[in-house]
Amino acid sequence: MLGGVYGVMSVGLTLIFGVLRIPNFAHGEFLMLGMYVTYWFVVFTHLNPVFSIAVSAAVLFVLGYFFQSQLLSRVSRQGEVPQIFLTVALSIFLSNAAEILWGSNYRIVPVSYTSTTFHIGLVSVYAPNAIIFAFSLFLAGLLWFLLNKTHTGLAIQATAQDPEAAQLMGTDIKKVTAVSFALGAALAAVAGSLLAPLYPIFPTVGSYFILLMFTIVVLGGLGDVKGAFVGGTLISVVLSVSSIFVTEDLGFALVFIMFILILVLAPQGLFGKTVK
Amino acid sequence: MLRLGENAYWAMGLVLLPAAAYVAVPEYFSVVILMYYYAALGSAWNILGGRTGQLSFGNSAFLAVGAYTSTLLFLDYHVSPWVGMWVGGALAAVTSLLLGLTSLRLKGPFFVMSSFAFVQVVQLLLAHFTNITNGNVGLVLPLTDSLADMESGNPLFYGYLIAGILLLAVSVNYAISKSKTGYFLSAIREDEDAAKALGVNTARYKALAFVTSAFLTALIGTFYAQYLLFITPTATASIPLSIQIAIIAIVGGRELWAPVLGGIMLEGFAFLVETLFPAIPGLNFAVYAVLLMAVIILSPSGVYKYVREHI
Repeated sequence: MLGGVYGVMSVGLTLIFGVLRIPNFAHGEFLMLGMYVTYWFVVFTHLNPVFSIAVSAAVLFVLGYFFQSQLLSRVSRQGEVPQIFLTVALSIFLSNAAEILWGSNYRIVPVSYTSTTFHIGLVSVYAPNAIIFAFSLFLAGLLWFLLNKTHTGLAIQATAQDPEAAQLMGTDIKKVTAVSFALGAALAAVAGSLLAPLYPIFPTVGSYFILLMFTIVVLGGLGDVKGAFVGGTLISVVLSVSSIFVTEDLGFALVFIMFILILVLAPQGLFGKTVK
Repeated sequence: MLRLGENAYWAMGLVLLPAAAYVAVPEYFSVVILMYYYAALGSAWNILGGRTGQLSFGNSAFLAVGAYTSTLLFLDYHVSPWVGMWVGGALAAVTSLLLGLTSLRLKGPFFVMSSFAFVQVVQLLLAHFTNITNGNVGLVLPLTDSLADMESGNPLFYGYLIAGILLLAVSVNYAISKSKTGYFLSAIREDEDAAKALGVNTARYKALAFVTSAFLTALIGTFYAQYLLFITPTATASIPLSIQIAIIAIVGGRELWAPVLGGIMLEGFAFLVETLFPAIPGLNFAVYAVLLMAVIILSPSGVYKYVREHI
């Protein structure tokens, strides 16, 4: 059930990698900020956390756009190392800023339906998981539409495939890059908002998810949008199946070992086309 | 290239500083030890990360290998850490060779991510096998105050122990930079495909750099265990520590003394913020992150080079 939201959180990462060619180490912190936006939204408005999705997406879109266009773009000519370290620095900054602002205590989003379950045939479904799953599917559809049916979406895809050719065709690469980063950040925030009712929220929650997200995008093929959703579903299945046989921590260790192996043996991902 | 004069000044400064600090500001002596500790970690990282250009977020895993090997040998078999540290180094070298043979074929961001995952795997394994490692509770070394057990009641001992390891790491860097291997490593950093085309066995030299870096890091791991007499999986094989090691060398630069400057600067800075604003947890790292962004944007080849060129 969590596969869908794993997909949403990872698809932003894959989008950013596709265009910028760097792993975004601040992605977990974008997710964390999304969770906090939802928390404060629910605390102040007492509305259903679902409505906070638009807010957290907007906030992180602006932050992502600003970060890429004002900071990352300054070092984009110097290769990947300075860019990777800028995202690392941003990740350290955001998690510590969150600690300064909101403290390191765990926070729980107060929602009415967290303990509701309903039954479909023999399967009992946990209500928040069902809502998250439905929303993830909806978002996947929306993203597909954005990338394939809008001008900006097509420009993002073109830039990811061949930046020089895209520029020659009249694409404003700088803007597209910033928009891709912003969109990726917004998607992480949406995933954070979706997860907020299920997970405790604390400043370093992002570091818990970041490696899982890397695993998912590499599994699905870096830069592959559909692959991120398939990878997300696959990983959530692997984690829940392995939890039957081994303890949770060993399950994670297995997933990460699998991650290193996939990187080495099939860096194009399980479904990706072979590159170069 | 570096003149001998500069090397001599640095070495002298590093040898004199612990004694001077011990006499003048004994209450802050631990800051000097931490500075040297980070400088040594940065220097060891520099062999692979700086010279060879293979960005690793995995070095803390080797710190853990070193710390756990010497500690377990001491606790279970009464082997002195003086011996254990070399066993730990050898074990880390073997581990890095096995990992390197597979993951060093990866380029750029892919290698970064694999090293990142490696730390997490080591941490999870150390935490999982509680019957050997005592899990997340950690291992405590007995307080013996005996030099034979690499322990002492006098902090100066630890100051000079880490100074020795730091100078060893710098010497290895120096030896590499003057050797054929060093030139091959630079060639790999600048253009791996071209180096390969010219007949450099890139896989072999990258593995060599990785093994050397891991070996030195494991020695520092034994120091860490002996200094604190307490180790846990999350304090040794930790992603934040791994990232910090890389940051030290990135902020400092890739020249011989640059990671040393980076380590001293960053630890000194962290100490300053902590002393000035002790009431706000997280502030030191937030400021640290802003500073890091500034250094990367304004002086991407490191502070050392900037200082050499402007002062």
